[in-house]
Amino acid sequence: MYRSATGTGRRGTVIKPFQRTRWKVALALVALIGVGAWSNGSIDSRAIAALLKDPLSIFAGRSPGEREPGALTQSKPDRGPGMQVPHIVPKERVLSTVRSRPAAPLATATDSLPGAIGDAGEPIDEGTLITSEIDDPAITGGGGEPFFVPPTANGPGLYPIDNPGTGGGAVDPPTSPVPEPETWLMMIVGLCTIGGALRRARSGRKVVSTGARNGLATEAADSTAR
Amino acid sequence: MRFAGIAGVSVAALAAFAALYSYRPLENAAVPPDGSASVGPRVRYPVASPPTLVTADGEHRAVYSVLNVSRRMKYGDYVWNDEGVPGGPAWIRIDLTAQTLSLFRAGHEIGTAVILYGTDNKPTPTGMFRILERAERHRSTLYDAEMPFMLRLTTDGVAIHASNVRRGSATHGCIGVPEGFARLMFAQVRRGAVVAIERS
Repeated sequence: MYRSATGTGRRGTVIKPFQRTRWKVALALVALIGVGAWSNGSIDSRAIAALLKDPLSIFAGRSPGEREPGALTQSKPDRGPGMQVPHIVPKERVLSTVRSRPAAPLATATDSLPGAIGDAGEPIDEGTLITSEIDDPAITGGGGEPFFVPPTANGPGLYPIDNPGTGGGAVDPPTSPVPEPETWLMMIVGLCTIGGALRRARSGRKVVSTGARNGLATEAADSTAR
Repeated sequence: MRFAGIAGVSVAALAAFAALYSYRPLENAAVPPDGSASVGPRVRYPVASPPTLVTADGEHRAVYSVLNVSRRMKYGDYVWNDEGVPGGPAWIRIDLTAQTLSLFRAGHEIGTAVILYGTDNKPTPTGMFRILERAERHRSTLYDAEMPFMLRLTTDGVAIHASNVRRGSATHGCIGVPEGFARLMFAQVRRGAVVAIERS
């Protein structure tokens, strides 16, 4: 154990300051990688960088990613055994496909009751709505916007993809290889440091220090005695 | 002395090694049955110079803290934490590309969730909207479907409501959020609250 460079220890003991540059560099490197590996154990490496950045980076780190192509609208609940599939050709719903609207002033909270003319000037004409032939709520399902989706270029099915489970059987976010590069680097640096230290200890090389001169011989003798 | 140094370095290396191999992927971590992701501490920004989010209307909205979500969220996940957050105006930011929704109150993010949005044929509009109507139980007149905790955004049927958020699903233009999150958000926002929908 190193003691203060300004003080002296017991009689005959050389107090050397901790001034070996290589030791400092190696210890700092191992500590840095170790801290990085430790914190990597609880936070994704991308989140580490994002935490130091703006909110948008944090939002991107938590996002599940872009939606996969072919996403289908929510439909009826899972069919039970024996439930027949009704052969119904759905009619097109009337819903404006114009989604890009010019920037209009935000409506205040006092106006715009449902059914009123909005800022875009599109009146809601209930008479043009086509009611669906599917009246059974059990078929249409609930909790969303159910509808039969005819086969399109985007996908073949009429029903949404079965959820393979909470883990998700489809694409998972890319994960780092195990062991991670930080692990390899830390191990190599540590082994090199230990090997170099052992080699120096075995050779019994004398170290020039700024401590007391009369203790130099004693230190060398002690090292060779080990 | 040398031996002590070697021992110190070895201990440090072994400790870091053990820490690394004691790490388990967060995807395998236990998730509460209600689907909420782990709620960690907040990421707080300096009050004097907080970062801002620029919305489509050109306004810079200050962000004083965001939720520290430490892993990627999955379909059905949501995070809610409003402890210690002062009361104030609420606004919602929806990112269709990232499939996430963030609810802010007094500049602090108090909730986030993975969303569903409209298909390519029935896309969700982008831009600035206000909550026109709130309804805890609403039945869609277009699709004859339940839309719990509905927050209406447009007069032609686009709204935020509870939905079965799962992979591979989409809506006819509405924003679908998990029901637990929809219940919490419904209690926070009022008519007139700003909703910013964008594609990053």
